[in-house]
Amino acid sequence: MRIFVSVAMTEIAVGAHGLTGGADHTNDEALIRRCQEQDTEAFRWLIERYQSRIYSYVRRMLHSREEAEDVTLEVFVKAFRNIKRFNGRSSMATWLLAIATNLCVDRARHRRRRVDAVSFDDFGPGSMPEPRDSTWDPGAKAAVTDMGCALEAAVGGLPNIHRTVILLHDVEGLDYREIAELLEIPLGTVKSRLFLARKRLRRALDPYLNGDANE
Amino acid sequence: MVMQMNDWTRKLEDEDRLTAAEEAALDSALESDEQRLVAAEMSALKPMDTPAGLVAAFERRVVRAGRLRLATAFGAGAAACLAVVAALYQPAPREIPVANATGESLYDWHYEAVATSILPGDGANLAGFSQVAREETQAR
Repeated sequence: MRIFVSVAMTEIAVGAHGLTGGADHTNDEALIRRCQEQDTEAFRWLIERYQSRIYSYVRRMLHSREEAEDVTLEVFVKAFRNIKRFNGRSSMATWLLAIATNLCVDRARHRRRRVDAVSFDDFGPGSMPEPRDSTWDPGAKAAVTDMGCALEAAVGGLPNIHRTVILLHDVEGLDYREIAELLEIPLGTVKSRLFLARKRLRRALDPYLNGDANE
Repeated sequence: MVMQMNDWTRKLEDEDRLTAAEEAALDSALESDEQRLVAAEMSALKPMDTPAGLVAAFERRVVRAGRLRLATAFGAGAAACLAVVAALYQPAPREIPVANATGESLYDWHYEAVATSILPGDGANLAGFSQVAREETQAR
């Protein structure tokens, strides 16, 4: 948890430093309008505002630092190219998360195809690719005593479809309808995936919640 | 009851269509303490620190995009300037003499045509032809 607190402090420090440079940057709408006029300086602000959030989401989705960096960069490149298509129907964060989700799905499919030539239909249950992050080791779970770290590891162990929904809902704060639209699935499916994801996580966190993680 | 619960869970796992009652059960299950606890833990997860390499990559991209934008703007400006200069310094079009078909010139043209006409090979009407021409010239 201490790690996360220091990360959060860094975030705030970076954000505070960044926002002193301009007057009009605190407002998303103004920023987007300027981005739509291909103002690269405005886009720099947009990146600064959302990079950590998108990177965290992608990293949790892919469980690979290198791939997360690639995909995060790709998210913003795509956003910059398509910013004129952004109509403000959703928030900028939701729009970026949608791009990120699509890229993660593509990346997972590609990864899976590389691993084996067996047909891989959809981003469905059991399609969880092998984690390639050297820092992530399910075997080291026993050594994890921190709830946050245990949770990160448990999220990594969820099937992709469950992980996507729980990250979008519980971490990113999207509502059921937004997730259903983003993933193009029925509202009921969003709820059932969320329920099952939480149920699995609850089971994984049992030792920590019951206070016998170190036993 | 247990069987019903298992059936309901299986339907959720298979992502089968739920009845209205099952959906209501799912809604209330999502609000249970157990589910709320996990949701609270999840929302407490903090954003990760963006790696320095990624920040540098962003910076490079933005700088490149800015340069490209400047170059495009400069190119467009230069093209516009050239177009203006070309429009201002274009030489005035030369006046092309237009044939003025007055009655006199038509008359001259007629006689020129008559003089250059290919006459019949046997020359039978040559005398008559020159006579007409001569008379007309005299009358003029």
